[in-house]
Amino acid sequence: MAMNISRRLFAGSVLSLPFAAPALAHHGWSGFDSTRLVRLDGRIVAMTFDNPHGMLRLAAADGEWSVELSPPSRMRTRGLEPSAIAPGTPAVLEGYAHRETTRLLRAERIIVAGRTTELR
Amino acid sequence: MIVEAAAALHASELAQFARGSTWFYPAMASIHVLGAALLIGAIALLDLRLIGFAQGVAVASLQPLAVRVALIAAVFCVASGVPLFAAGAISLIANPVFLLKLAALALAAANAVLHHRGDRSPALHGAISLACWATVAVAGKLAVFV
Repeated sequence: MAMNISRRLFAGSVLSLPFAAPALAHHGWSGFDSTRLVRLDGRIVAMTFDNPHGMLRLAAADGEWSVELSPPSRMRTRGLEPSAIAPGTPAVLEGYAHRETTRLLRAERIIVAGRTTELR
Repeated sequence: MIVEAAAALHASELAQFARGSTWFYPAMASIHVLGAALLIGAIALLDLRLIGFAQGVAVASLQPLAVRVALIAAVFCVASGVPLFAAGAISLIANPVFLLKLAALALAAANAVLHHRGDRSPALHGAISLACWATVAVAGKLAVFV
């Protein structure tokens, strides 16, 4: 029985080792400040509609932002085609700003031509 | 050199297809996680037996089954992992958590080879294997969040 418990402790400690890994991470998903919704009004200057998620560059009043969108599958499912967010298009983005990286937004929704697409 | 190779892979047709696809990339991600579940599940049973659990189960019966399932699952993991890696090769090759996953994979493979050569400490091999595969799974998931 004692042997059995020590084996269990051993297996448990072995399985907990990988959780040391997050210490290596410099940014995390939690790096975005989700307590404060940011609204950006600007013009799209560059866009990728790629996996694992699309990105766009938005020229806003305070400078150019990098914006993380969703996977293409989700955006298409919700009716947002790449042609709707081509460079030059005016857009409103709502989302959460990164705490450390300046002008990096994790978009919650995008509004183009009066139409809102939820991204999460 | 590795960075250049990653950049070349990133620019390949396969990578461009994976990035631009609507459903291919999520399909590969699904196959990858299914393969990982099968592989790690099968190998964990063997590892636990080698550590000393369930001594009523004969290693001679369990090991061939576990290894066969794991190898078949590994084929699915590698086949799906190549396009997933290629799509983001430039950032993944510079991602410390992804590199930890690769290191744990290499260690798991080396450990398995040593075990199958008939090393005398199966319990140690089982424990190393369990730690490595747990690291592979967790680092693989976390790599996309850092």
